[in-house]
Amino acid sequence: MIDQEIREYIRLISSLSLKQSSKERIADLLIQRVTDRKEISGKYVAAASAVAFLVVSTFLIARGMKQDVNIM
Amino acid sequence: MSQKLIKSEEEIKELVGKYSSLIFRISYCILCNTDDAEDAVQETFLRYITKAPEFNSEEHRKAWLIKVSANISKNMLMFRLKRETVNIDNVENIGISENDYETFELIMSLPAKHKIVMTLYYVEGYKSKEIAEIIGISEETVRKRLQKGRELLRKEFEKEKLL
Repeated sequence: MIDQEIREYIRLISSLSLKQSSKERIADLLIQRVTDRKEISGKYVAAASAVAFLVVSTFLIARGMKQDVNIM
Repeated sequence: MSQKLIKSEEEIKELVGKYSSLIFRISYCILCNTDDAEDAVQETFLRYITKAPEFNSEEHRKAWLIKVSANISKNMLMFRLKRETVNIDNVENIGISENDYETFELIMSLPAKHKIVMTLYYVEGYKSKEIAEIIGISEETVRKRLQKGRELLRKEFEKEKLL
């Protein structure tokens, strides 16, 4: 008796499958989201590099100015 | 095998082609809704691509995907239950014939924790011990859930016949 019910269970759950169009849409969305993350990550690296460059430049300029007025 | 190997569009497409139906079945059993199950599939793959650990084997990777998709689906269900009532899909969305729909609805009415264990055991062919490792419960609990799931299924079928 229960065997028949289990067979029905297997048959119906096994028949659940994503449509090909849904698979393609999900793959495209994933590619888009991964690409977006890479771009955002690249922008962060560029921004961090610019900030580091400005900090070092400011430090060197300040140091140079102090040397000019014989503070150091 | 590592997530770092996922570099190209082809690899993503291959991954989706290979595992999306398995993840969809697991998610659907919990969420009973096509749109939500598709979102869960997408979130699972995104987590895989961005965070997946290294895997010893293909089976290890498959088990990781099952566990993560089940957790994502459970979280989505909790979030949804706080906001609205759960409506099961209509027949067109899931490709199940109208003749089968009543039986399918009856199966979907079983508690999610029993459906996951029963699906992994009967549909995906995992053993009790493997299911215990995948979903992080004891083997004894897996056996109890299988037994209870079978009982509930039988009762529901009997009730259906009486109507």
